[in-house]
Formats: sequence, C-alpha cells, structure tokens
Amino acid sequence: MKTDRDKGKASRGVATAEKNISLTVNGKPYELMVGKDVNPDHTLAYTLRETLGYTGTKIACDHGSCGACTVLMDGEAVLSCTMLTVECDGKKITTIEGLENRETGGLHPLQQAFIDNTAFQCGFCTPGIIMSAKALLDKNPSPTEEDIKQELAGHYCRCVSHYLVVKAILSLAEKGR
Amino acid sequence: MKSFKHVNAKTVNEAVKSLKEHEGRAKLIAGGTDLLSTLKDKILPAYPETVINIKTIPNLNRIGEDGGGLKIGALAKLEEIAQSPVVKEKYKLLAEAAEAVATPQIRRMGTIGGNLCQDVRCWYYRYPHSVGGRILCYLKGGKGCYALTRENQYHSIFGGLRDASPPCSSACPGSVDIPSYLSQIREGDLPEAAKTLLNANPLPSVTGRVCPHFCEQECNRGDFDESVSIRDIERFMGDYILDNADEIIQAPKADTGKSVAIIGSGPAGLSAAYYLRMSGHRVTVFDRTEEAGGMLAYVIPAYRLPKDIVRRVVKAIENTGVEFKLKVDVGRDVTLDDLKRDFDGVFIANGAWNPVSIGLEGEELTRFGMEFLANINLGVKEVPGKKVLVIGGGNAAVDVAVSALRLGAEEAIMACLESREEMPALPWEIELAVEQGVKLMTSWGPHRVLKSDGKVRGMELVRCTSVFDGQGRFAPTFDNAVKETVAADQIMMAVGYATDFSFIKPGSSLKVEQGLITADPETQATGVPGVFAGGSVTHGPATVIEAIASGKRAAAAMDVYLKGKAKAEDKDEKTAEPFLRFNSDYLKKTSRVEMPKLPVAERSIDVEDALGLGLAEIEGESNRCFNCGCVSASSSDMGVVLVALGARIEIAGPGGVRTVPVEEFFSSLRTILEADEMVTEIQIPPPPPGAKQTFIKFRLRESVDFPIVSVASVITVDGGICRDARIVLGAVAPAPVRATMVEQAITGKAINAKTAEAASEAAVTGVIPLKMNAYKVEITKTLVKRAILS
Ligand SMILES: Cc1cc2nc3c(=O)[nH]c(=O)nc-3n(C[C@H](O)[C@H](O)[C@H](O)COP(=O)(O)OP(=O)(O)OC[C@H]3O[C@@H](n4cnc5c(N)ncnc54)[C@H](O)[C@@H]3O)c2cc1C
Ligand code: SF4
Ligand code: SF4
Ligand code: FES
Ligand code: FES
Repeated sequence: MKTDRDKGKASRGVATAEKNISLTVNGKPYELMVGKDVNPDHTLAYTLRETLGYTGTKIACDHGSCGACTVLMDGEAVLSCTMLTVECDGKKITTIEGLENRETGGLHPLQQAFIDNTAFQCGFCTPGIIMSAKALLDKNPSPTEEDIKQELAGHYCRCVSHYLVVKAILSLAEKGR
Repeated sequence: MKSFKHVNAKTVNEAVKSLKEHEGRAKLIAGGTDLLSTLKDKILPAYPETVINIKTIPNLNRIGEDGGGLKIGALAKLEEIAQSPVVKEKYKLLAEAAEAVATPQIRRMGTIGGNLCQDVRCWYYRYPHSVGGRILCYLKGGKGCYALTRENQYHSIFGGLRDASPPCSSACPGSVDIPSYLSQIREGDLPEAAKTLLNANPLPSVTGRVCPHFCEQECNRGDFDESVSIRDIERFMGDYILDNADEIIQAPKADTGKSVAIIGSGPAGLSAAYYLRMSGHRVTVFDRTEEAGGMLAYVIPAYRLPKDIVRRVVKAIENTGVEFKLKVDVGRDVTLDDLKRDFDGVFIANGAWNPVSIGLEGEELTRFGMEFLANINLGVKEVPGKKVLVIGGGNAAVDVAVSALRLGAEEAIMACLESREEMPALPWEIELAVEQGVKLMTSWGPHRVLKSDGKVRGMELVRCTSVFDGQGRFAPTFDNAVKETVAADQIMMAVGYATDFSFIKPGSSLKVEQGLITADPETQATGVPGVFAGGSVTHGPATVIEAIASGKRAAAAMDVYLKGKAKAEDKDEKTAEPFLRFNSDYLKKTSRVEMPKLPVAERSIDVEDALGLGLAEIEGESNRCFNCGCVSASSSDMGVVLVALGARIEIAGPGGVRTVPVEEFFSSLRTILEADEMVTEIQIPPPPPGAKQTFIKFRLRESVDFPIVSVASVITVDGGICRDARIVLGAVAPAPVRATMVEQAITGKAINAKTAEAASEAAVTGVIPLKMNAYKVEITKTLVKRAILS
C-alpha cells in the first residue's frame, strides 16, 4: 500500500502525516491508508462507523456537545466526532462492541446494569454513556454519585434517562466498594 | 467536511512557516473541538486548504512556575490545567475557569490556546441552519447583524466591534468612515468628525450636495426602517468645515521640497492637490478656465451646487499653499514636457469636455448640452428655445432639461433609448425632472433632425426595441417602422462627453486606449515615471466621489514616489479600542430626516433648491446609525480569568516572538492574531498573596453551556477594607472587559452589602443592551455583587 515515493513527499515545508494509520479497535489491528481508506477530513466517528462498521458508536450532534459518539482512546473517554482519524495513529480504541465478553459473548456488567435499571428508552445515547462510565469505573471502581454526575456531564439524553443511568452505575460502584 | 490536506508540525517554526506559506489558506488544529465544528458547518470566511496539526510539537503543554510567575504552554489541555496542583494552589481562578468549560471530554481534548483562539460564538453565525438556512451576516461579509433584533443571549450589552468596513463605507467609492464620524457627531465632537470625513473626502460640501449616495442604498438601517440620511449629514459637515476652514484645513507643518503639477482643477485634481499638499509637497494646479473647479464650477447647475460653495472650497485649498494657475492651457501655453521638466511629479486630471458625435443626420444643428450648462454658469442666462428636446437619459440630460425649463423654455422633453427602468439617471433625479415638468420619452432613438431654412424644426425618432445585448453590452436595436415626430426649436445632445488629448504629443509614451489614459487602478500611475492620471481621463465620465477617490489614490502613490519610499505602515500598535457605541434608542422605528426644499414654483436657475439641515437635525439623524459591527460576545472563559490575572500571551510569527497583554489580544474580532501567527505560551504573574480569587459563570445548563455572563475577580482585602481589585466581565462584550468603574467603586472601601450594591451599579454604566438581552444587565449586576461579597 505504501510506496517510497509517498514517504518522501512533503507539503509546503512540513512533513505530511504518515501515510498509514494503525488503529487497534477492540483488540483488532487495522492498517488504514490515507487517501484510500481514510481521508484527512474523516472523523474517528466516521471511520469507525462507515469504514470499519462499528455502528454501535452513534453520531448525534456531531459538534462535541452531546457525548453520543464517546469511545475510549487508550483508556480515556473522548468524543470521536471531534477528532480526526489521521491524528489517531497508533491508538487503541474501544467501542461499545468491545465490551462483550469475548469468550462467552455475554454482556459486560455495565451493559447488564443498564438493562437491570432500565437506564435508557430509545438507547441512542447509551453506547456513549456506557463508554464514559467504563472509563470512570476503570479509574475509580467506587465513584460517588457526585463523581458519576461530574463525569457524565457531557452526555445528553433526549429521553431523560439520566437518573436511572446514575442509579445503574452506582449499582456497580457499590459492588466495587 | 470538505477535503483538506493535513500536515503534522514538529516545531513552532515549522507551523508558522507553513501558515505563512499558505497566506491565510491554512488553519492550525490543536484539540480540534472548535475547529472541526467550524469546518463541518463551513462557517469560516475561507475554507482552509491545509490543516496543520500542532499537537505534534513537543513541550508545548508544560505548566510550571518560574521566577516570573506561571507559564502555560498553548497545548496544555483544560483538564490538565484544572488538575494542576500549582494552579489549584496559587492560581485558583484559572483552575475554576478551566473546570467550568464545557464537558469532561472537551476539557480532556481542548487546549488553552484553542480556547483563547476559538471562533465567534454567535448562534446565527455558528448554526445558520437552525435559524432558517444560510445566513450571510455582517461577519461573513454580508450586510446586517441578526442579533441586533432577535434572540441574543450570547451577545454583547456593551456595543460591537468591527473587522471589515460596514456596508455604507464599503459602498462609498471614497471609503469614507461613515459610522466613525457619525459617532463623533453623536459625541458632540464636530472637529473630530470633520477630520474623519476629510481623511477620505476633501470636498464634503460638494459631495454632500451632488453625490448619488451609494452609501445610503446599502445602509443596514434601510432594512429596518429607512436608511440613514448620510448625504445630508455630510453636507452639513461640509459647510461646517468651510465655516471653520481656518482651523480645520491648515497648511502642512513641514515642506518636503518636492513639487507637483496638476492638470485640471476638477474634483480629481482638487482632491490630489489637497492630499499632496497635506503631505508637504508644493502643488500647482493648472486649468484653462477662469475659475477653478472644473465640472463643479461649470457643469453642475447652481441650483444643485451653488458656485459660492465651489469658490470657498477652492479658497480653503488655496489657503493651505496650493497655487492655482488659471487661464493656462496645457498643450498651448505650456507643454506636458515643460511640466515634467519643471516639477517632480505630474497628475493629469483634465476631465472629459469634448462633445461626442453620434453621426446623426443634421447633428450639426444640435447643441452640445454640456456647453449649454457651462454657458449658464458663465452667466449666459437666455431662453434656449421654446420647445427643447434633450437627447439622453442620464443625469446630465436631466440637468439640461431642468435648466432649460428654469431659463424659460415652454417645454422640455427628454428622449432616450432606455426604458424608464433602464435610464442611467438616478431615480430621484428623474423624479425631480418630472416634478419640474420635464416630459419623458423613453425607448426612442434619434433618427434625423428635421429642419427648414437651416433651422431646427424637430426630430424624427424611431422605436428602440432593446438597448443592451445578451451580455449586457450597449448594442441598441431599432424598429424603423415605428416612428414619432417631435417638434422642437432646440435640440440638445447629452449623450456623453469625450476626453481631449491634444496636449499629448504624438509619440509620447503615455498610453491612450479607447479615449482614456491607461492608469494603474490602485496607484493611478501611467507607466511614465512621475506621471499619474485620474478622474474622467482614466475612467470616463463618472461621479464626483469617484474622481475624488482617484485623486486621493494618486496622491498617496505620488507621495511614495516623491519621498522615494513607502510610508512606514503603522503596523498594528493596536490599543484596546472602545466598543462601537450606538444610540440606546436605536430600535425605535424612525423616519429619516427630510431635506427641506424650495417649492417647485419658486425654484430657479441659480438658487439652491435644497435648504439644508440644522445641527439638531443632523445630530438626530446621526443617532439613527447602528454603528454596524458584530455584537457577538466573547465566549472564552479562560480569556476572562486571564485578564483578571493580568496575563500576557506569547505569540510566535515569521518575524519572531512577541508578547501582548490578554486585553490587547482580544481587542479585535477573532483576536489580533495574524494569519501566520500562533499562540505559544500564556504567562501569568503571581497574584497578590492572600488575594481572594473568584470566578462565577452564569449559564443555562451547568453541565455544558457557554456563559451568559461571567465575572472573574482578584480582590485584596485587608482589615475588611478592599486594598486592590481587578474585576473582569465575560460574555457581555465582544472581548473580556475590565470593570474599572467597579474597581474604583470598591477600592479603599469596606467590603459590605452597600459597597457591593454601588459597585454593581457601576458595573453596568454605559450599557446598550440589544433588543432582547436587557436581562443580562441584571445578571451582570448580581454576579458582580456576589463576586465582591463571596
Ligand atoms: C460543546 C462545547 C461547549 C463549550 N463550552 C465552552 C465554555 O463554556 N467556555 C469556553 O470557554 N469554551 C467552551 N467551549 C470551547 C472550547 O473550550 C474550545 O473548543 C476548546 O478550548 C478549543 O480548544 P482546541 O484545542 O480543541 O482548539 P481547536 O479546535 O484545535 O482550535 C480552535 C481555534 O484556535 C486555533 N488555534 C488552536 N491552537 C492555536 C494556537 N496555539 N495558536 C493559534 N491558534 C490556535 C485553531 O486554528 C482554531 O481556529 C466549548 C466547546 C464545545 C464543543
Ligand atoms: S453577532 Fe456577529 S456573528 Fe452574530 S449575526 Fe451579528 S454580525 Fe453575525
Ligand atoms: S446604520 Fe450606520 S454603519 Fe450601518 S450601514 Fe447605515 S450608516 Fe453605515
Ligand atoms: S456526536 Fe459527538 S458529541 Fe455529539
Ligand atoms: S435513551 Fe434516548 S437519548 Fe438517551
């Protein structure tokens, strides 16, 4: 895919971005060629959904203000709609699809907690919220209610499931204590 | 998003170099949380060709203290700032503001540099689709600001800021800074207003009478109720300048010792003479006429432009030391070569005075309209004929026809090729003619002059079926089968005028094409060193203000030529300018002031029709100006606290590094950053030990929203008395504003409810809320009170 000619090509005095983008999504490695598999103007959300088929990641506002597109990047919750894929070279991404138990195919405890607490209605915001919750619990297995509210401040739920979301996460946080 | 190239910069130099090479067609990307939004919605004035990633520059995210205080690299993330122990301990205000920005995800991605440089947060500008599609507001190069009269919670209550010129000034060929001089009139400073006006137009008493006011047609107020009556204000100012010419128009302080000859004393020549003289050159104006003024003196009828006004204008210019050599015909009495030899520079502005022939049968019996008008101004006031037929549909034809009636003609008919809508004369000029009794015959072409005994008896006209071809070029077509005969004992031709180049010797290197001297449109240079040309000789007959503008351009270029170097451009020594003020009653629907005129029956050939306005009236009219600019409020929370902390911003550009106070950084719309500059560091001096730092942000949803109003304060209290205070308001003006009135109101006072109350009143002195955001005034007061008492 990569030729030597591409490598040496510089644009207006600045070295161009690496022509190959390596991504690991849910443990699976991908090599994406710039200009072919991804364009400089593709957001990570776009690449995940349209190029790689991880449609569990949702795009709602596409402007960084709703949290629906949240994924984990090297363990941190980030907004994939507001990030260029070409700037994600070498990153490890986890999407909602990556939460299931690979051996059993069973749901992740967080997903189960959301079901148990009916923490969604339409569910559009849910993948993003669960990814933020995952990042939080990974760092702090027993967050307080206030910690949860703080961390989820960037998630917008049109169906107003927020209270049940907090309850669902708290149920796991208590297990962590 | 539309496509772009993406590059990674490894050093600040690389980034800056790349910005410079792209000449405005590149954008930096840091966290991208703002930039990508602006790209998705295509709201930037120009979509970038390249996006330069600066996250790849190492060490630009450091946060640390050194002897001089705290230094924060431009790439430090907001979350890192909020969590930094040193920030939390000593620069608490910063940590609080960073924590209050947006959401955890944005704070983990967004940088402080990007926060300071984020684009305007006006909802009309950002989300045009949510308010009904594409909006071309003032800031995007369109006309009006949508926020003045609609929902405007994220907008200013302290006035606006301009980046480009407003629609009125853009439409003015002379680029007069209209809103600025109207502001100066509102402030009661007529001498300053006069100066502003004279900077672009040395003949306002003339243009204030005869200009077709291109500005008014574009005035934003026109979309609201009626455009501001700019020309009538200009006329008042022009007369004010003449009445006070001795003080306002003074000779230059120093002479350069260089000399310039100007051929022609019309508006282009007078304008060049004025500006060249102001730059200290010795100026001599040559004209073959007896009086200076060219068209102004001889062609424009006195009832529109009294000749006394022209004489006073010339006198004022003469008093600055300009020499007028009249009754000297360049070409006959003195040659162009003589002038080139005896002067350091020559400006050719001899206008267009010759008749044009249209090859009509019997044309030799007709009269050239311009000669008729000139004769009137020379004092020949005889009845030109009983029935006068004027050929032409322009303003000159109107002047000829109206003058004929006023001299006693029984009937005046204007016949022109164009339909009424196509007529080149200005609509209000045509109305004036009709009011006076001129009959219009539109869509008729002159065919042949009817004569007997060598005398004019009338004219045969044929139907003109179209004037312009598909490309809009003049290419009239006729239907010879449809004829009309008009009886007349005088036919005046007003179909244009031609230049006269008899003074240019054959073989001269001056380039003449299609009857016009070729001149550079920006400098008016002719290509012959030291020889410049402007006015009708270069662009054909046009308006007075266009001639003035070309004279001014020539003067600027000649000044550079004569001094042998470009004037050092006053490179952005920008101090924080006050925001654009307008009258707080600006939204009451009002009518424009009407210029009183003599009743039609009393109008004559040599008394001005328009009677003029008084000071009170023009002040009232100046009050109607919106002072157009963008009223979007600054949204950067970091900016507000950085002003409160007295921080400076380090900026790297192709020429090196500069640092500016944060206030100055925000003194322009979209900051003072040039297209090839980037922010590298923020430098914050240590706050006074023990000072109380408070940041309060009022917004709709605590979890995510931008501020409606915010207040940052650093207050030193000793024994219950305020010793020192810095208080800054955010989201209420185009930039964070120091509330110096509040600072004064509390410094030296005991901090208590009474002081806070007085301070909160002081915070809102001079507010001009927009139609729907007066509630922000109350919020501001409350937040200021809370900050003081916290
Ligand atoms: C949902 C949402 C809510 C928000 N709420 C708030 C809020 O309440 N308060 C607030 O203050 N902000 C708010 N913001 C704005 C946010 O703080 C900025 O988007 C963020 O700080 C920008 O940082 P960035 O690194 O992502 O900038 P980018 O998007 O990378 O850049 C922004 C702009 O700055 C330029 N730029 C970036 N770095 C530099 C540099 N070093 N030198 C010169 N130019 C540079 C870029 O070219 C671009 O034009 C909000 C944003 C969003 C999306
Ligand atoms: S406030 Fe500024 S950005 Fe908003 S509509 Fe007015 S001119 Fe445009
Ligand atoms: S309102 Fe004032 S600034 Fe705006 S276009 Fe009219 S004259 Fe110019
Ligand atoms: S879709 Fe990314 S934040 Fe809304
Ligand atoms: S469950 Fe519908 S948006 Fe949250």
